[in-house]
Amino acid sequence: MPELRFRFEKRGRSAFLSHLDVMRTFQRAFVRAEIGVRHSEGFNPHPKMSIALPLQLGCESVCEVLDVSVLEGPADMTSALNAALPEGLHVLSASLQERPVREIAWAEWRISLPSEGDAEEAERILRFPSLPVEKKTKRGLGTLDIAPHVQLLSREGRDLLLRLRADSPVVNTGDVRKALAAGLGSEPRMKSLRLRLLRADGETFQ
Amino acid sequence: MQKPARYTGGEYGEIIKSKDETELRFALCFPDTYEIGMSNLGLRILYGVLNRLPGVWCERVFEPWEDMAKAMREHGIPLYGLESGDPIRDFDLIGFSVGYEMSFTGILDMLSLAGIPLLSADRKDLRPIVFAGGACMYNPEPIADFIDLAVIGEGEELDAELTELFRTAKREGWTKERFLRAAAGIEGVYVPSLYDVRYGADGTLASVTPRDGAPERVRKRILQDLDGALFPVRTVIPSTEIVHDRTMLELFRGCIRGCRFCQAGYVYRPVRAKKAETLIRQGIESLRHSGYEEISLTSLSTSDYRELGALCDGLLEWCEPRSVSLSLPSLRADNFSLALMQRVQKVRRSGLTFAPEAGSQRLRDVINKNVTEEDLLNACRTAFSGGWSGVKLYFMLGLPTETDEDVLAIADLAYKVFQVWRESTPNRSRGVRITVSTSCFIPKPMTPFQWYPQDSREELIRKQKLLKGAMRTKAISYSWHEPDVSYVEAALAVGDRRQGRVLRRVYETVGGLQAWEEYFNYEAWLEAFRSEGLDLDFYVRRLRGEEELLPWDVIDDGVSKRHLLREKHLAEAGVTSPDCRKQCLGCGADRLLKGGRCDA
Repeated sequence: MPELRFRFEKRGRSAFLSHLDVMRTFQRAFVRAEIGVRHSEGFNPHPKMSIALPLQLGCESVCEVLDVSVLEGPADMTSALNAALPEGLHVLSASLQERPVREIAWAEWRISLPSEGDAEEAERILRFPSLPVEKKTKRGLGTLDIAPHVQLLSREGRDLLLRLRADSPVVNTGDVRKALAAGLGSEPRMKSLRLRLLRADGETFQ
Repeated sequence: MQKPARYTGGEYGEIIKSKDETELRFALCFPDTYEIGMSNLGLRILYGVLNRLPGVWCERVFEPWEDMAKAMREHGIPLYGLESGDPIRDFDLIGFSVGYEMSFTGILDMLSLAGIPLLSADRKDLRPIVFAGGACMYNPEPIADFIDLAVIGEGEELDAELTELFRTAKREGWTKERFLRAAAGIEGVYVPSLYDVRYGADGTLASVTPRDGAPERVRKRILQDLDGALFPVRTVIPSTEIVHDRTMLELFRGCIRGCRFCQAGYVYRPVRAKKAETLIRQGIESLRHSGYEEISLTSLSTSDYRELGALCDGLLEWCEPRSVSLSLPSLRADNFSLALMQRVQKVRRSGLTFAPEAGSQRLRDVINKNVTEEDLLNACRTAFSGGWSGVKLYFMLGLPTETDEDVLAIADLAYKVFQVWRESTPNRSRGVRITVSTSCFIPKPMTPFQWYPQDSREELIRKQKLLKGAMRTKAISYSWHEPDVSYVEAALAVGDRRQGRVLRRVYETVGGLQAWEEYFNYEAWLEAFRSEGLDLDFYVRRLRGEEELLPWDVIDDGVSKRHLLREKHLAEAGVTSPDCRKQCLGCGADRLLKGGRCDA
């Protein structure tokens, strides 16, 4: 059996599962669904699987990507897996891995602010020419100007549609929240939903 | 917020019922965090048993960490069931599973967060009934003021009977008093408010008098047939990490050994084993439904299970090709089999742990830990020559009759293990890790040592230092338990009803998470005992008289006091008793079985 790519959603209560929690949950769901996964060699064999662009805790997504070396499994793996997953994690499709995940360059997000006024204010701030935020780098805490890595696409009511850089550097909605905090005076409450992953040429990453 | 997934529910395998078809709402509460509570097999069994009852919806409730508790109070969110998110103050039955005395304050924390009055006397209505079960209920007295009743012994049948009685009470509109009087008629139910307790001038119990038909003594409940009992092969699988994140398979209840300090070894009698074929079936089904990559064979002394070889063969046949590992905790040094260990550890190799408990043969004889130095060294030799390069050794400090010689003997024994490693390892360059841990002996109710005092803190600290100084090589590392927690735990273990006020005061000053180092506050406990006019040393440092009426004498675990006293006297004479398989000592627990034959 081949290298497979499962696309899945992470919604509702499952947004509070960490990346490791999700990995562990899938690992067990594969067993429950009777899908055999290739394991690494060595003293502590572990299943070979990876999730591209781990989500931050609390974020939801409809475009997660899980790559797995599958050995064997039922004909309809998507249904089998969905019956074995907890609330909120839901597999949308299974396919061969056609493009490598390193081609992911951008992610499209919807962030929802508490009110339309807040969203208008956020829109104004995100158009600043420079948006410096504190960010952990390999060399410790540094400052990154995220302005070149944030594209504001549109606003609808209290929702903003954004594109955030997803290769180097990776900018996440936590960084956006920090940038907004600098303009607003405090960190706004916001809900983040990842809608789509894109390649550098602007095509949807599948 | 730390680890929010603890508070969301929604895991694979949780049971959701329609509220229209639900007649009774049951909150199965664990007075500690999600990670600890979800690791408890008993809780999972009861969750399965209760949800099997038609019209009953049982949900899980854990004690939130301080950050979550604070957020809940700020936003006016009362404690809720993880399955429905509904406030548990609107539930019918609120049952706590209590396995550790230091989590008593957690009960108060959870009731308070739920918006339920803490005192049983302040809850006038039939709903909700607050009760408790679990290992700590062999002495329920410290929490007697807060609970309406306690369930003693194994809960599978008892909790179901209690729930059915409540169903009748609710349908027929009984008062709370009527329900409690009826509940006291169920074997295994203890209703503290039906007992008048008086104390003598010296502070000891003078009398305990039942009224309204409550029994003189409440006898614990046991299951007669473990093979036929429900075992939750389909259970809730947490998505987030918990402490024991694996399938747990219980081989048998009870223990044949009779270690004189061990409460579990007495209160879970008589020995009842499950058949290997039942266990193999349940183990495989549990693994298939859970997706866990490890199965652990749990019991008080796993290597005493008669069919262990057949069981491991049967499980391994399924586990090995699927990279599922099998672990065997609770091995004894005197029947350790390397062949078995190597067979079960083909997938992943884990550490090896032995618990000699005492350093000298004299003291091991006193506590009836029938393991010799030769047994231990042989087991280590086998393990080291088989490629193991580390071993953990567990001991207790402060055991009755312990002298400095006994303490120093721990260091000697550890050094002998080191020497054995040097002689037997195939690869000396890899080095060895020998870990010695000591806990503080805590006299527990229902054991032959229940009359004994605990060593003073100063004495325990002195012994820890003495032992630390006696360790002779860096290959041996030594860690010990702080005696402060053990001192409080010892007081609560043998506590009486007057301690309820202490628990409340501690909870109100320093919070419910007293089982956690981060929140345990020794000074607050001292202050609370003092403020309530109680002396900690009265509970902890006093040798109780053999004739003294003890707070837990109202509970009958099946083992006779005569037997405990005989074992106490043998301990004092340094004489061992044979295990139950060699010879029945007539402890009395076999009378709990229909047909009266123990399965030792």
